[in-house]
Amino acid sequence: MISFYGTTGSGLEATAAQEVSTLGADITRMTKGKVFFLCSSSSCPDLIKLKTFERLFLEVLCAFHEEMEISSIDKLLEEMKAVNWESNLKKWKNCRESAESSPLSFRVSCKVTGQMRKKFSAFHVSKAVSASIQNSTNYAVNLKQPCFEVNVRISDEYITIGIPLTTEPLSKRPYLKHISVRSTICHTMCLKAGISSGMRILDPCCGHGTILAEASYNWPACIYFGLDQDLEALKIASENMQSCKASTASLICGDCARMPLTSESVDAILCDPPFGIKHNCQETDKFLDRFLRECSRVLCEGGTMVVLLGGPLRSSFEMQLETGQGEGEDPGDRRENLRDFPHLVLKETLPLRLGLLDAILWCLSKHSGRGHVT
Amino acid sequence: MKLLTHNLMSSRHIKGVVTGFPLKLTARDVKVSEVDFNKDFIVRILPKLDWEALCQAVESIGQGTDLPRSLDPDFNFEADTEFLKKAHHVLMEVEVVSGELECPETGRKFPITDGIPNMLLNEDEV
Repeated sequence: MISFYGTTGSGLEATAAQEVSTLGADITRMTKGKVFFLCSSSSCPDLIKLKTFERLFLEVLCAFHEEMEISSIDKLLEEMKAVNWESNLKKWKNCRESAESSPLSFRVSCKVTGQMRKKFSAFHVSKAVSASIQNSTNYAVNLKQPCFEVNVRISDEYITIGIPLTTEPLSKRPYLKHISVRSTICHTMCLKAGISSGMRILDPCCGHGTILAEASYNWPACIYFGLDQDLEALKIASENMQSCKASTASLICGDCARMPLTSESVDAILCDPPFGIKHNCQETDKFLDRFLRECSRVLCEGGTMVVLLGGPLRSSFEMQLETGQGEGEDPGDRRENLRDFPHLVLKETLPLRLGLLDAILWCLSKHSGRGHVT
Repeated sequence: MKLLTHNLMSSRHIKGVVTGFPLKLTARDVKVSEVDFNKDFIVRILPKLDWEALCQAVESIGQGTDLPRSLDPDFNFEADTEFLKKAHHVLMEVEVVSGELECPETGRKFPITDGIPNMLLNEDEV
């Protein structure tokens, strides 16, 4: 087994860990924005196909302060002596699509955060690490177009040295022309919706269609509908659908508060509602009511709705939440549902961050049945 | 706009309209492009469609194939690959680039431009 670690958006760590586990990887550690794991060499070429990580690294050195304190550059260089670069590079090449030719060149990039900035300067660490690699190998430094990068990260929690598996972050999808919602979040929304073949999936305020494009590229055997009232946005969405070759996606210009769709016509709704930013509070509530009414109308029984909430919209949703009677026979069985739309049941929440903003994913499921409010 | 899309569109967002389905379809420009046949997908999607509405739509844009007008509930379409390929063709490969959708109850018309139907209403219509 070979050691790797990957970076994720804040809040997506568990989702990313779950995704890499499907390749048979063993998760060794999880920390804010990072997942450490072991992967067999046969699964290594599949790592770069992962969709919920930002970047993946082959682990060269990893030390958590609580276990092994590296408090100076000299100590770090001491630890680096044990590193076999040639064998690491061999493992790294096994994860890549194209083979690099020797002689190899590299570049060190270093980031120091938190209290550690008092002990380490990124410039001096880069220089020392770079010299150490040159001493133990015949690799040359190439700042502009290196064959590989050596990524050093020093935080209050750990020191990691790794080689990124890809030059560009994995989250930068070659098949998406315009990325308006983080692709890793779009992918997480699809996973939470449990997309499977033959499903009808709607994004009622699709904007540039990023969520639908990410979904249709990865789950092509579904039908996708994108609704938006902005024709200009739909033109961009149309380009996204072309770049990801979504042959089953359709765009409709229409209002998500008055959807031009028949009732119970979709199996899942994926959505990043933009309102709340453009509207004031009172309008938000009025709009939200119409929007939820329409979502619950077009959704099939048992259908799922995954919605990304930030800002004032989040509080409007939270105000709607109440505890109701669950589906089971047990009278003590409780569930959380929306007050005005009791058949929309909250199944799961996932707090995450959108850049500097706090946001949350809500996964709702439509269950008419018995569940009544207590 | 694919006929698959037409199959779940309705004009019930217009004030006073009860069902608004199926919308009458007129095409000025129709594009047929080849899409890979995915049998499993068609088999799964067929039971979710309103077959008669689909046939009407196919006829209204002059793509009349020899599709049966109604589907016998006992019809084992899974085993009939030829039928599934025809369904695939009308659902996936035929696209209305420009034309019109019309509300069956009010006659309100909605334009289709560059393959995108514009279903927005004026304020006095909602």
